[in-house]
Amino acid sequence: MQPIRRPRWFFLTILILPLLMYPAYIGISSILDYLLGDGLFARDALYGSRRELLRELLSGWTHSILPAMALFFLTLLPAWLLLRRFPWFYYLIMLLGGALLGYYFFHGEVLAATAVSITFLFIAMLADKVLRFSA
Amino acid sequence: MIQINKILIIVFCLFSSAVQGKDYTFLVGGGDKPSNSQVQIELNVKWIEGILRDSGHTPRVFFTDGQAPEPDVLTHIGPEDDRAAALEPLTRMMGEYGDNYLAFRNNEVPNIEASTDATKLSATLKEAFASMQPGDRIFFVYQGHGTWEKDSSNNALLLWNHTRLSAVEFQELLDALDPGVQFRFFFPQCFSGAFLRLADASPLAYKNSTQAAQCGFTAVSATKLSEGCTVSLKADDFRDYSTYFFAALDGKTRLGKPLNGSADENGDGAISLYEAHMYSLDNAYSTDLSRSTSEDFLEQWQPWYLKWKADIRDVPDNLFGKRARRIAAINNYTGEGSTLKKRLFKQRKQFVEEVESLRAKQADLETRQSQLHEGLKTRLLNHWPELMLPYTAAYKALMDNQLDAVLEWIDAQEDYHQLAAMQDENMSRMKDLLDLQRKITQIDKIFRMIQLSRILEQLKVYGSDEDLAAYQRLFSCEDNPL
Repeated sequence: MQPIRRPRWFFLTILILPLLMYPAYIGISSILDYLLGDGLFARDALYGSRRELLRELLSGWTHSILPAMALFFLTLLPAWLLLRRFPWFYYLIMLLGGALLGYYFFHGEVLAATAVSITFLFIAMLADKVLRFSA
Repeated sequence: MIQINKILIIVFCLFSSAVQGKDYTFLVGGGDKPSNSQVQIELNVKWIEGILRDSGHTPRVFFTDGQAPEPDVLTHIGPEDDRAAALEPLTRMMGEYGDNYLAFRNNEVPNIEASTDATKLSATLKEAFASMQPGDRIFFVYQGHGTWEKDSSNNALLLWNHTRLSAVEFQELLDALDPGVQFRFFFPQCFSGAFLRLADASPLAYKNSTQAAQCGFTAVSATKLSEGCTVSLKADDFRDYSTYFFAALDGKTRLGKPLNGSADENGDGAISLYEAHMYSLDNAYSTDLSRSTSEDFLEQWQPWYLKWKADIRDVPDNLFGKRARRIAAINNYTGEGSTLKKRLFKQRKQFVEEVESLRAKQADLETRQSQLHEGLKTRLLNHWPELMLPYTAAYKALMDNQLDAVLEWIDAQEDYHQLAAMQDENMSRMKDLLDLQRKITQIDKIFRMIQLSRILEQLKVYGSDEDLAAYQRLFSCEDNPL
């Protein structure tokens, strides 16, 4: 990877990208859940009202920020090492890493593991863009 | 010998009651003022009081203004009353449609102890709670209206003389209870979900009890209106949470008819409060999506990382999964797995679209109705301006001497009949709207049961031993008979 020429953009973006992880996970989960699972997302019945639903979402998002940042910084290391010469290998590592992490964390639940895996792939694509743009 | 046996039985009863503690039941009901104290509430209080007495309880009853002789109940006398029916054209023009059938009377609730005025009621409850001993049990039943606040902990019971008792204030009253006294509650009012915060999953400090100290049931969440706030006026059309819950406890409906199947889920011969709640969930065709404190515990417990987890597995075969399937079957939603879910989604979407379309038509109708009403009312007041000043001698003279002429004039106006037809159509649409909302609630109920079935399984996998024990304690508290 080339040296960072736009450090301001680089640091700003690596702070913003982890914030997108949870919304990305929710979005991907909801699509998968609608297509293959219960489709229980965004039901007024479960949360009383849309206002309550929004409150729940915000609460989950604020809880997720620190773990998402930790996960994202962990992904920066393979990105730094692999993106320049073997970008496909970086994407593969992120996809498989996400799948394994999801599979372990959600006790072998396939759909949840798939959602985590796709989220990691999505974040990898964004990280790739950011690192190339900053270099 | 018989004498000795009798004495022994009496001694045993006295001893066992001293050991097991006493049961206290509080029944609090009525509105905050006569015009908001509908006869349905009074009928519910009388019915529930009878059920509680039949089951061996002696409820302490608090209702509106207590035993004061002033009218405190709003009744509906119906179109069979000729005098009231004759005034219908005037109320359609000058008041609200249907007002001519309203009347006030004093309540007919037996055994009332006192008024529900919040200050007096709080003092009475505080005193009663402070005197209770470990092992005693309280069942608190409310029948009345509730208010909504932005901070749901301030959602309140609307009590006599425009007073209120919020969920937070009620919690403060419970602080006076000995930790060995169990408190169970039933709140069916609008926005009652806020009172689920009264739950206390900590173990009841009495004889190594495996039950929670405080648990109960509410008709709706903290943000929803309950069925009791709808347009139903007839006794055979009562569909609020209390109607089903207490019917299950009584073994028959409020009209004396047999239940739709047995409410005794575990077949032990006694109906627990939770079984009555389950019966209500299964059979209530209403807009109430009732909740219990153990269900609320599950929703509150669920960690943020599990809340939005996609799930491909079939609905678990636990308490809630069975309920989801049963409610689906009762409402004729056939199929399994994703076929059923897709059907429910499609059906719900269709109902929501129908609600929106009906609301748009209703808004249009109300605009036209308002224009027609304004024109007609102006002409009426040009003829009889006394109608504008209802508390004057001129008004009284008009009502005494020229009422028939006024009514004949109104009846002779062509646009009055158009207005009456529009008002009737509006009322009919409100009923259609209510029916659609009831249908949507049935689907939401199935979705909620599926969600709870998932959370219950998650609790077993991700929850700590303490989490599991807290859930079990709340459930055991709810699953006791009256």
